[in-house]
Amino acid sequence: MPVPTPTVAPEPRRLLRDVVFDKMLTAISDGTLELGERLNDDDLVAWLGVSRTPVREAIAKLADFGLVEIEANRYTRIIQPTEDEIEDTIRSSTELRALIARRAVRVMTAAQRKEFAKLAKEVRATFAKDAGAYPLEFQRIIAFLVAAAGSPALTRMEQTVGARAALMLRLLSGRTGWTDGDAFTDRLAEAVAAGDADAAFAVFDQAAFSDVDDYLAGAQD
Amino acid sequence: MPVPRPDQSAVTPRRLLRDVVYEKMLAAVMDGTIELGERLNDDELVAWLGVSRTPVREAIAKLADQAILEIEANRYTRVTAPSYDEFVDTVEVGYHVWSLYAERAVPALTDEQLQFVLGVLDARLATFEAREGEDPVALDDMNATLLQAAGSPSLVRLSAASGPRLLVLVRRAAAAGHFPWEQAEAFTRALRDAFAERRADEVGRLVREQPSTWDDFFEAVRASGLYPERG
Repeated sequence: MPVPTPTVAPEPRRLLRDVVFDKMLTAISDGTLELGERLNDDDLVAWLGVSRTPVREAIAKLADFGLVEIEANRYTRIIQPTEDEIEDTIRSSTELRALIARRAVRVMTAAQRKEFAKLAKEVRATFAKDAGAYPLEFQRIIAFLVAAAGSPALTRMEQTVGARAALMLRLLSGRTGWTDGDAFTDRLAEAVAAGDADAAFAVFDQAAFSDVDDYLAGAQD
Repeated sequence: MPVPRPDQSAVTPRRLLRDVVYEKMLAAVMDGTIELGERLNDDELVAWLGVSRTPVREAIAKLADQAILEIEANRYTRVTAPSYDEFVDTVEVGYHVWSLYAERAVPALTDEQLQFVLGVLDARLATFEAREGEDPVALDDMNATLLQAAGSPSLVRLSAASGPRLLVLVRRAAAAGHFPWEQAEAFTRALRDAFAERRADEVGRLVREQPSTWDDFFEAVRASGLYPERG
């Protein structure tokens, strides 16, 4: 019997299911696993070179993250989001990010504020060259705020919807670029520089309630 | 041969076994059958729950994602033992998420659903006035109704990720004799009125601001050392 070649080697102290999860998440993000694609245990076991258990655990986690749908005894598949689902994800994740931003600005050190100003500059520069890059740059901003907030609960909340939100934004931006990325980044940079936690909250909160349809409408141009 | 009695936890069509196991384990942590910080072993769990290893692993994975358990090596699992800061963090975030779907639910509740919610809140108020613990099943049903009305799969996910841990930590503190009775009474009364008048903004505000009225409760919990302060 051939010796299975491990294509996934767990790093020290890293659970196998988390390594598998990351691999699958990447595959979903970059389209290797397509939206709506059905997942087959055997295929995944063969592809990843691991046993069924970590695969099932990773799939369960992907389902909890809203990237995979499990229909018991029927099928398991990558999500195929409807317009309503896209709108819901963007709205809810934005509401969450408002909370993250407020907590981050509240606890940020002066050094972190400086770092953020630098990040905002980089984001604007990248965006000026390539409007389609905004979703990825936006993720960098979010990642920074999540880390700065230092809240295990908020970090976990972001993990719950962040990957899904990122996927949705990428789907939308695949159709067109973003028109208000600059204004958003500027307002946020101002709030951070001023140490104004409530203003940071408002930057996201206003985006959430100023018609999510704008996001979708902007994506239809 | 004895007639088999229907087991309420039996797997019904399309109900995943891992979800049944999850609910059993969650209940055990909430009521203290399994203690905070306690170490669990796969084999013990398999024996206790009477299922195979796979649904146990899947339930553990979900409880670990909810930060109620921590997975260790060699098939051991440990119930989390949060610090005081983590306790406060869990409460603030949990209530904020709750405020998001409670507010969204208000305009969408049918009259029947609204009556149900008001009924739960009235009963909750009565138990708080009597200084008794609320019925967790009723609260869960109410929140499920709100989530359904809110119609947001994302908020369902956020609620699932924050609610259980919030419940566990507050219940554990209550079991240790710490609970903000007066604030809970005032909150429930005001929330009931806000729902009755379908004032979404007010519902959101009340829920969101609830933890900020809990200074005495937080101080009592901190002083008790139930959730230890870390340097």
